[in-house]
Amino acid sequence: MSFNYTAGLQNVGSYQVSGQPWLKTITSLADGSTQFIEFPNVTKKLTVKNNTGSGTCLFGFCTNPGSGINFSSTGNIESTFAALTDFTVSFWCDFTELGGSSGARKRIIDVNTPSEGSSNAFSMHMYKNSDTEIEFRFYTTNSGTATFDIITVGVDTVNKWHNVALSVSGTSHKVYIDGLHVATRTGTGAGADGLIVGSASAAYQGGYDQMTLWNAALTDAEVLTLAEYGAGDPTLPDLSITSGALVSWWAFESNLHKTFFSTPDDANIIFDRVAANNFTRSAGAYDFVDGFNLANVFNGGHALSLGSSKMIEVSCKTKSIVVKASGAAQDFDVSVSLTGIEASRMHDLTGPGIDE
Amino acid sequence: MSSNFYSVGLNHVGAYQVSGTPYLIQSALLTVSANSLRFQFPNVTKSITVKSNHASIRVHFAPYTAADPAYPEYTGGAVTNGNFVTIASGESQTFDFKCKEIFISNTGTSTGGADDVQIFAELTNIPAARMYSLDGVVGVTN
Repeated sequence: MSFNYTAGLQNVGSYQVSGQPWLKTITSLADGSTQFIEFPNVTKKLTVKNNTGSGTCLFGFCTNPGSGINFSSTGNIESTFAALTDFTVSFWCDFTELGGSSGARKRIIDVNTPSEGSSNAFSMHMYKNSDTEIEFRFYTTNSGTATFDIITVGVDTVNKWHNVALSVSGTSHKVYIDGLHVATRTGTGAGADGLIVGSASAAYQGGYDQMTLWNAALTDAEVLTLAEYGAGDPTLPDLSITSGALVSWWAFESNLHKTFFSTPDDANIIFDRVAANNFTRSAGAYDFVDGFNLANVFNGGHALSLGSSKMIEVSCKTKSIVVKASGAAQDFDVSVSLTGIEASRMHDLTGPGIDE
Repeated sequence: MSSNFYSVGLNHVGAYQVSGTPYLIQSALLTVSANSLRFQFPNVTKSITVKSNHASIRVHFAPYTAADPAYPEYTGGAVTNGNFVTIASGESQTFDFKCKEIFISNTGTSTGGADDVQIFAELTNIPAARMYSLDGVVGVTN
């Protein structure tokens, strides 16, 4: 019988005797592309150096660099499931792609109900009022007649990913942005049996990421928990949802930067990771893009920028970094002083100062 | 009467806290880009500063190419997985690395003089023999 001990994250000596070398040179990272770099051990100090004559290297931290989808033009995907009377659907949405006026509003998501046939019981269309305000039309269809309310919501910055949630309990329809309850409307009370993401007409190109469907109207606190939980696995016990059970989880994951699933999503199917309610492509096409937490590292202002031939050295503990090329393809070097602490002992980096 | 000779080990915290023995060396660059210069230190380093005075150089902690006959104790090479960084002429970079040797290669084929590359190391009192081999280590040759 043997025990294998390893130093933990708070082991002072591991930092004092750190210094195992780790080096990597990366060439021709395409403009706009992101490079995810993992280390075998926790870092003590890392240096990033831009070797390119133009453009910028952006560097930040992300330990779950998942993917999302973005439709290249008009397009949509659909999922059907056993009818639910009460339910909650939560997902991340890239508001960057929203139109800039009511005439250019984008159709974000539709919820089908058994009683309305091909008509959508609920439909959400959105557009930007300003850089800090969105406006959406929340359509409700009852016996073939659609009505809508216009709801205006302030956000910190429009041009990044936000969490959107719909919670339905009978005729009470609640809307949440970034986990905060922003409106309640009266609906049909007819339940739901399908979702349509995107649209073949009023095209919202994306992106979409980490969508979950629950078989009850979650509480305000639980919806906030979902928004704050980020890119984590919603089946894990540390996500404390007790009001309802998880019906479906669509991760929109193609293993773009890291292997999360043995069977990744592809150009036609977004797999339901807990049931068989897969999204299938109905029209158009979609691409896999950086998911919400990775994208928000860069467009949320949580990255350091390195101009041409510049170098920066930071002391920090992490098990991974992300680097993005901006303005031109980038060549860059990363050199890291590692501790003896295994990367598995390091917690995930997410939340304020990292990706929100 | 027996005698015992103790030396501090690689995980001896105090050895890093009281480190600082300077070690300086310089060399002309090699004219074959794939070949590597090796600089060996008598003790384990706490940090190393490398300055390039003539041309753009690569810094690595194993030979640049795998199975370099000049260094038979290494099977892997830094180039295989891009485990090196580049320092432009006139620039310097400091690495807070513990090691017993460092390798430098020339990105070109020209050589200037004896001070093409200059190295300053901050040494601990840990004997180099106590340092493990970096051959096959992720981030060095892997």
